[in-house]
Amino acid sequence: MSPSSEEIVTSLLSMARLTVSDDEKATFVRDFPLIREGADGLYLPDVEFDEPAVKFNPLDYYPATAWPAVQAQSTRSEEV
Amino acid sequence: MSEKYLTIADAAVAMRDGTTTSVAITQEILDRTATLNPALGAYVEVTADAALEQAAAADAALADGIDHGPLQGIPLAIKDIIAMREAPTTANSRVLDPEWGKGTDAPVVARLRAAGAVFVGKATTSEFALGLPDPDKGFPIPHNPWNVAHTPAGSSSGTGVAVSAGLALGGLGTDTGGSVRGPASVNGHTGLKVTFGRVPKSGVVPLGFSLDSIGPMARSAYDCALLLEVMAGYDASDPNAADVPVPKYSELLSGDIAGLEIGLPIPYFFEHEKLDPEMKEAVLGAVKQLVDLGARSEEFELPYANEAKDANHIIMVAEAYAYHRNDLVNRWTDYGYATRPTLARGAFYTAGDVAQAQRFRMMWSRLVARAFEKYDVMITPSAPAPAEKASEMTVSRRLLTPNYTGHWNLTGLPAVAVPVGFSTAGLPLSMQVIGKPFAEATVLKVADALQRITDWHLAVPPVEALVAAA
Repeated sequence: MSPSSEEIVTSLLSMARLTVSDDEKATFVRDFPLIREGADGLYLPDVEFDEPAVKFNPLDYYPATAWPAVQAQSTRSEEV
Repeated sequence: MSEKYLTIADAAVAMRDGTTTSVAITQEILDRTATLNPALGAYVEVTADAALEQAAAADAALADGIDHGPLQGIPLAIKDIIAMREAPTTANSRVLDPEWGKGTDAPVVARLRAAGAVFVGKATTSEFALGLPDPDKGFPIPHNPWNVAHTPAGSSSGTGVAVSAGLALGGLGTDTGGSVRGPASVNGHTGLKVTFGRVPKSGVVPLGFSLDSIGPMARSAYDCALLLEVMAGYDASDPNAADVPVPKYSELLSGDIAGLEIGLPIPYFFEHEKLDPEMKEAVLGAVKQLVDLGARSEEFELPYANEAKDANHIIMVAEAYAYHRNDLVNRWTDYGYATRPTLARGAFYTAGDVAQAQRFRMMWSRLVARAFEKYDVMITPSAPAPAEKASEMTVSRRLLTPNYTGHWNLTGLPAVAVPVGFSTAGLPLSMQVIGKPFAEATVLKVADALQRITDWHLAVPPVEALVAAA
């Protein structure tokens, strides 16, 4: 039998050593299915060949030609 | 026109033609802030004496023929998670070390200072740029000047309120999932989220390390351009700062958008069941105005937008949890009632979930990059709806409602929120223009082209009753 949201939340809070009020815990229990739904929805077949973006650089995903206006307007000021 | 509603560009001209001075503008803003800040909660701390000294120095320099450019003598609001040497940085939290950044300027503030800007004070932020205001923690509660019962959004709430209500001519916000664009949207002015790395973010209390950016907030796109051309550029203190040339953005706002290709991503951004009809109509009306100026627009399908919202949230709370974990364990109740459960979600996702969100990020970025092979910009509403009632905001809200901004933090792309009208309830409506990496000039040009033929961004909120009651 799968553990309930309350059992999972209780375990996760304990593992994280977070001491929350009863009302806060009730909110976590209520929201937990939504939290899981958001995470579970990312396990998509289309992501099969992608590596994690552990350090994110937007230019990695676009050809340099995507920003010719910047290159043409090379009026960079001196750094402070 | 009263000085309190001047744009930065107007004020710069007026100071140089002798119509006014920085001291006069700054004094009027300080007087207005003294009257309105108790009701609007825009500032955590007003640095009045220092501001007047800076204004006097700006006037004296101009009189001596020393002109540092349009920001000289311009009063600005600085979000209180950004270090500014005149005042402590609190992040609107009891948790942050009071010594954090004390007596220092973040590089972006140093650049504005070198350009002669005047700093009115530290503007209210959602605690650590997250959550909702907690009245029990001793920090100001920001209110929307268009209707104080409604949220001014977050997290750059104070800067948004200050710009809208004439308590600054512009300012700085930070944006991890929409924290510049949200307040700009609901407070009725312009706000730019810059390309990740465009502006060095050192000297800023982090929220989501790989998503955070500092952006300009002001009445007009032109003013945002004036701010950005000073703010942007490489700085070695930020490991993510991009060494990419900085254009003179303001000179690129020609008003000419003939031939510009606009993509309107569907279904999530225009067909969502929770999208307010008035918001949709106003945005599509603005797109039509851009088409009338010579642009072309078409709808296209952009899949996985709902998942992108979730990926942004997972990465943000995971990175934030890493930063806050020890304080969450030891000082749980020192955090605000809405901040702590949001941060704690970082304990509810697995390590695998975070890695998967980062894999999704790669895929999503590819999809968006593919769309940008055809389009110069994408346009969406800035938010699904106008400002909500503050009393209806809940901790769980982010999980339940669509969001139109975090997608572009996930991709690191520039996006500007632009006013496009008002709801029947009198609340601002806003359009978001998204561009390619480092194409801030393009998104600002689109916003500026619209603002040349509309005046939504110049509208003044009805705060007379607040003034009368003060």
